[in-house]
Amino acid sequence: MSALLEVKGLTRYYGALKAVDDITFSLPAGTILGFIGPNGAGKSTTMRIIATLDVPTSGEVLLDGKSLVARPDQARPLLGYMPDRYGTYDDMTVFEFLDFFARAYRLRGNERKARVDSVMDFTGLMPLKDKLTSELSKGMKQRVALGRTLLHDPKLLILDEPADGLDPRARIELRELLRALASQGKAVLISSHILTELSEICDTCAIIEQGHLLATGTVQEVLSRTSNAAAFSEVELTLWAGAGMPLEEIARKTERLLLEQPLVTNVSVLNNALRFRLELAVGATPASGWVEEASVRVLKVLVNAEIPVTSFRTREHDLEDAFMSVTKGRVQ
Amino acid sequence: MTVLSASERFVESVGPIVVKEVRQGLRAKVFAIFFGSLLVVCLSMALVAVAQATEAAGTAFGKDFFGGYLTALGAVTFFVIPFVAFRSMVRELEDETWVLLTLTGLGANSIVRGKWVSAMSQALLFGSACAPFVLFSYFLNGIDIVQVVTALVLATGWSALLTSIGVAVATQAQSKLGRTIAHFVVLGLLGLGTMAGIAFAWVIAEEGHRLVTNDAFRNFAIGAGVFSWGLTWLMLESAAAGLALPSEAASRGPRIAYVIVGLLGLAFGLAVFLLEKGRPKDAVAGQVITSFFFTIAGAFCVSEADGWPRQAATGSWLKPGAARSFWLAVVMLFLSALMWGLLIGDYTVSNDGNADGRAFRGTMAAFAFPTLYLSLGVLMGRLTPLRHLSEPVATRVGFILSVVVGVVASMALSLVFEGSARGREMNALNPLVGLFNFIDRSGSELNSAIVLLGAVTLMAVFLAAVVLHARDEVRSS
Repeated sequence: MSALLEVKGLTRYYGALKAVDDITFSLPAGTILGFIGPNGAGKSTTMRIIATLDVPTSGEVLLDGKSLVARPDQARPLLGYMPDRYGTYDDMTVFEFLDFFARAYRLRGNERKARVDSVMDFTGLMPLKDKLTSELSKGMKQRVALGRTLLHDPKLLILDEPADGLDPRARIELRELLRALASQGKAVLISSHILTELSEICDTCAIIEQGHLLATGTVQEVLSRTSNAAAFSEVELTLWAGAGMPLEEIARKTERLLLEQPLVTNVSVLNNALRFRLELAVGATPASGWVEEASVRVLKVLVNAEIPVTSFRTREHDLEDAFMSVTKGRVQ
Repeated sequence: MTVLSASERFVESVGPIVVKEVRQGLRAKVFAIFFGSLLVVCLSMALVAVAQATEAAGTAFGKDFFGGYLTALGAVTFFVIPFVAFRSMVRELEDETWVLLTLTGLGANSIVRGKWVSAMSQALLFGSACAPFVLFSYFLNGIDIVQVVTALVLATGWSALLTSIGVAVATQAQSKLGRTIAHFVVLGLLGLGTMAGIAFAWVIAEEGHRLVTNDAFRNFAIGAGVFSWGLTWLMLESAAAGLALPSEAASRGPRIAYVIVGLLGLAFGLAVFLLEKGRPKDAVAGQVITSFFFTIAGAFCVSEADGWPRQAATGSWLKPGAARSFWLAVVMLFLSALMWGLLIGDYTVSNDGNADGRAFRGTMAAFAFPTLYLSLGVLMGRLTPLRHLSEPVATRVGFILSVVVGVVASMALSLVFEGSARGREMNALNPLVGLFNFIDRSGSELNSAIVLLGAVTLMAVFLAAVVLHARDEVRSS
């Protein structure tokens, strides 16, 4: 699939500070890319450059083949940007707000009315069209902001922390809206701190830290790459309470046994369950399948000691683990 | 249906910002309060006027009530409207909605002009509420229609200028602290502007027909009117440049306005000097005034950050960058000094042939002082590694600080070494006392003082230019 957005060697200095360092990635139409990184990692700077609000010190950004560094005016009609602050006017109704921005996008007469109606319909704002934006909940304000970015039917949507501060329901609704937009062929670049949220929304992800792009690819690629390379894994096991021995005693015995095993750390007991971490020594290189091998060894010890284990599972690697794994040793 | 579609067509033709601002402005409490108050005040004054006219028929009350109506209208259009425009722009910056507007393709110019036009539309609404009362004062005798028209035209120009200043100051303050300071600056400027405007309105009302038919006053009114609209243009261009994104080359507008308004000012000064058969001291006064304009407008309207966006890397004088904006201010200051110097020379040749040393020195000093202190402002920011100190706002603060230090230190040194705060030698670099000394006093020490001032200025300009060019290249590479 050809890329709608291509970012090549993007670098941005602020004085002596290198906020973005040689970032390269691409985003095809119809896909959602999650931009992951802690505060100050360079996410917002990168997004602002792509949104033509800032200029790179070096590097190139092509949107639909056009350089948005050289000609930002030509790129703007193709992109919609939603900053972390929604930027609504409190003394305007939802309709007035969208109508005003539609005018600003030079939509005229019936075309404008049709477009505003269609956006309100898509974002579910029609019942609220006469409500002042100041009277809306955060989730609804966010919909208004999303609606504003859709007015001119852009090919690329840049959403900076759109899920921040939203309740679970609003997040689910946002996810559905973004999925619908991607299915319409729009490319979506989205940043968030909530990594579990992103893994459910995104097709691809890019992990950035201290201005460096540490990993990029489809979510599955990044997960499989990082899970193989991870130096730790979380494990949970449950015990059977009817084994003729008090549960507390079994749990204590299990905990003792686990702590005697190499690579086992962070053991915690919770009723009939125990959680622990299998973790390689600092500096050790993770070999392929080391988690499975260590798990089998631990389980064997427990079975030999007649511990009544009813379940034993390693927690599935998610984006949060991937992020921690990739940034390990680099987080300040 | 026809009327409706005509109004719709009109709304479509007006920019979206104007529609939004007028809609928001008319909805705001501040509009209702001040509109209502203005009507009540005007109505009360009209009732008093009717009562007085009934009691003393034939007496001319017109000018007092005319002045009263202009005061009420001036308070709103010189202060409230510009401040509302300032607040509206500040809110746009605080909520970062201007960024979203820029992305629509509207551009900084449309946003700034939209704010200004909507503020002026509101001023027009206030004016139309007050207009019947102003006309009513004409029927109270004592003023004529020329006075009414002159006062209203000048008041419109003054309100337009103050509103553009409000909008421009708002766009220059990017940080929270900057915005707080900007509030005080705007309140101060608008307060002074309102007082000056109202005082001038009373002068027109009191001096009556005699003043508005006076040739000198007519020349002044035309000059002031044209210049105030020119300044309004410059302010709006500079506001748009302040609002522009880093990805936009925003230097073109303010630089063109700066040059055209400056040249217009010089041409007006030249015309007045020749028509009024000016003397060297008038030329020095002209040089001080035009230098003041080029310095303040140079520091606040065309000073820029280092470097330029890549898409603006072509072109010559209109290419952005601090070095070019600095050179532009210096060149305009030099042109001003050259013109006034030539006029003094011409006067000297065509009269007794003896050169007026004080006039030449004064003209040179009025060029050298602003050039020196603009250079020092630049150097203060650019010679440190701190990025924030090289921002335009820091350069302005550096310029003001260096002027204050220059004045205070020179006077202190003069007091110690020459026994007087107005000493000739120690105040050679004092932009205040030194300038007065060069213009007003004589003595051979002043010849060496002007040479010292010239040498220091040349050195400062050279250093500032070197630093600015180097940083422009670094930021743009």
